Amino acid sequence: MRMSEKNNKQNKLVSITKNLGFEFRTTLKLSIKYMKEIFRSKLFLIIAVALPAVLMIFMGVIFGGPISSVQSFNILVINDDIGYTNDTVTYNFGELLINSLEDILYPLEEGEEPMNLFYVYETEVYNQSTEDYLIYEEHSLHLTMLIPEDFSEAIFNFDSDVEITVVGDPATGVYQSALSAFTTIYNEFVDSVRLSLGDDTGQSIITETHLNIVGNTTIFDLMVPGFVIIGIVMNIVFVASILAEEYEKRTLEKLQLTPMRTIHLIGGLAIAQLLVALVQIIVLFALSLAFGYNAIGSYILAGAIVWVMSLSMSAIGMMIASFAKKSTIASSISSVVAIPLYMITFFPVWGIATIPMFQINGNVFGVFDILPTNLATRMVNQVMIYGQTFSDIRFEFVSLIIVTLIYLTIGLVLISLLKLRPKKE
Amino acid sequence: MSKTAIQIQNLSKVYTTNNTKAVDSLDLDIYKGEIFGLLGPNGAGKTTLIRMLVGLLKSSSGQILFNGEELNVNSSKLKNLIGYVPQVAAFWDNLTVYENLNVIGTIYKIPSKELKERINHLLEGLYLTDHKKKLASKLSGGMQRRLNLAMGMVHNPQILLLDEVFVGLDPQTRNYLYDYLRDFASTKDRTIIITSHLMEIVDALSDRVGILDLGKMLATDTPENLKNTHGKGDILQLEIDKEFDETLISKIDKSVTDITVETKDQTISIKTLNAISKMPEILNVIEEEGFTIQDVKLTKQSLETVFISLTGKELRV
Ligand SMILES: Nc1ncnc2c1ncn2[C@@H]1O[C@H](COP(=O)(O)OP(=O)(O)OP(=O)(O)O)[C@@H](O)[C@H]1O
Ligand SMILES: [Mg+2]
Repeated sequence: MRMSEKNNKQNKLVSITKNLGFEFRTTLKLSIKYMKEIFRSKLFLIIAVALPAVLMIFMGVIFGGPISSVQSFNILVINDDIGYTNDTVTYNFGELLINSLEDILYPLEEGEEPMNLFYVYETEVYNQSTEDYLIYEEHSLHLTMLIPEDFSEAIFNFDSDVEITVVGDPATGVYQSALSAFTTIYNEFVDSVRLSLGDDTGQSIITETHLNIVGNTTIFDLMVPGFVIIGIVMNIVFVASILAEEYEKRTLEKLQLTPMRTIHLIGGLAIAQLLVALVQIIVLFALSLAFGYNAIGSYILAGAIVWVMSLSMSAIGMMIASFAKKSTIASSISSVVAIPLYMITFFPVWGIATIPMFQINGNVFGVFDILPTNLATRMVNQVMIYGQTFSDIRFEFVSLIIVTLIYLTIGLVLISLLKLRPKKE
Repeated sequence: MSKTAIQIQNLSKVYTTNNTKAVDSLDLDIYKGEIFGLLGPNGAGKTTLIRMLVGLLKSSSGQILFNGEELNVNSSKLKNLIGYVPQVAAFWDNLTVYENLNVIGTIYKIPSKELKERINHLLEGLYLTDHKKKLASKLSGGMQRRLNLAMGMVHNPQILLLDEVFVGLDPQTRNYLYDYLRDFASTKDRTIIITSHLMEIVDALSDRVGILDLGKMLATDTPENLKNTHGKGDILQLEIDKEFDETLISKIDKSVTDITVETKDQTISIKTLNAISKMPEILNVIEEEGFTIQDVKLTKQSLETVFISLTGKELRV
């Protein structure tokens, strides 16, 4: 009795293991099938060849023109000015400077809604954590200004220079624009205050402190993640078109009649995509190194980030394929969908503020973070430019995994509802 | 155990896009172990019916029972039970012949060694062995159809549904397929439903034949019975050397039983079941009357004559 029970259990275990083996064999077989199809198809080659060309065009566009256009700047001010008392009147020109910055409006043309040129945030102390905040908040602060203790005194003391320290990341165009706007206003401010006090001999000096840790970060460095990610974003196209082709050529019906389940199909395709992405990641990072990428972080970690992100790209491909009836349609929709996805990878470079969606333990999840490309670009920059380690980006990494899983789930549901059910017509 | 492999009950399909009633309240039992031939002119609803049976197309109403059970389209029970070869060949262009079959077989969880044997066996029978390493896209049209066929049979299903599989095959492959299907169905409880425009093949192959038109089953019976009830018999055409009159006709009519005689110019047309057995008698009467026969033409009654008399349409091949 007990023997047979034990045997039963053993048999059950054996059959479960055997079944799992078969399940995995199905997924693996499908992924091998897809890999063969991908590497044997011209489409993939076209993408692989077209990719460098697309990168070149982008380089041209990005480096071709200066980053202009007026915008509002977020500046952080640490006002250490203790003021200056003259004839029982105490002046605090530091505060006055802040007030005048806050009062500047643009545009000045009639009929348009005027906006603040500067949004000023004040804080008490400047230390390492303030600096960290500045760096890692993804340029939602464009510039930090330190007003020294003796600021008011220096203004009154007509012979001395009036010094101020400005901190920012010169690799970002926004900082440069913010600095030039600020410089103009600051000089005017010091001049006009002194004029009203009756003198104008001294000079106003801005001491600039560069914030980037690497020191010689180039615009290219900040764009490398974008370039790598563009390559991966293109995987949407072949995932979508290969799946739509299954539908169009009715091979999907053949699969539909087998005991295959949607998860096998999705899994097989996702695994194939992962292998393709691995090749792309190695090639693209190697290329970036050849072009002089100043990376101080771990390539493995950066690669892992992009690799996880690539999964979400296959999920987007699946979503598109679930609506497309023809592979040509799927690939054109994919190309269109890909554009905003890789455009956004350059947004941090341009310093567009992330709009927070929610916070967990002080970690902000931005609205744009629902786009895995945005999340991944930011993380790769954090790792490669600022040398962050896994523990620094744990929140983002987990977010990326969760976002990717959500995408995959949506892809799976859409495919099984729209493509693997008995047809109505 | 139920004797029927498939029971179709009051099954209908309306395509809403063009408001076509492709299958109209159909009732049909397919027995275990039989080969059922489905005949019908273009657009009769054959493909629609088969696609509903395999679960690729949603029916508008009605029921389908397999071995007496209603099975969910996604159940592995159903999927392992049936094999389907579609009218339009489908395969992966960028995979080789062998790889195409291997993918399908693997998903059916056939152990790899057994699968390899089965594939090689099928390839041999379908004369594809020499092409097994070719990409499917590089095959000729007929070879592609053979691959399509193999893909539906690699898992040895109990119920096989074949939609126009004889089209585009050379005689060699047709013969192999014919033998294969006969052999397949001779194994206990295996069932085949086959649609074809090739009457002789359906006639020879099928245990029963159903004639479908405008989504309705006009007749279902063995080919023999169909011919006997709906066919008008064989047609014997005799050309006589000189003018003849009514006396000859009535003589023939009187001396031979169960015949219909018609004349036109110098030709006598005799419609009868089993004309060959009656031929000596007929010839005797004619010679006794002093006429000589110049030419004889015998058209054997076939499913084609049945088909035409039932549907009123010539079957386009
Ligand atoms: N997807 C569809 N949408 C709308 N109508 C359809 C669809 N498929 C078939 N039909 C219509 O349903 C009817 C039956 O078509 P079906 O393909 O089942 O015929 P068939 O008997 O297989 O013909 P054939 O001998 O040409 O293969 C036809 O009138 C056809 O126009
Ligand atoms: Mg058809």
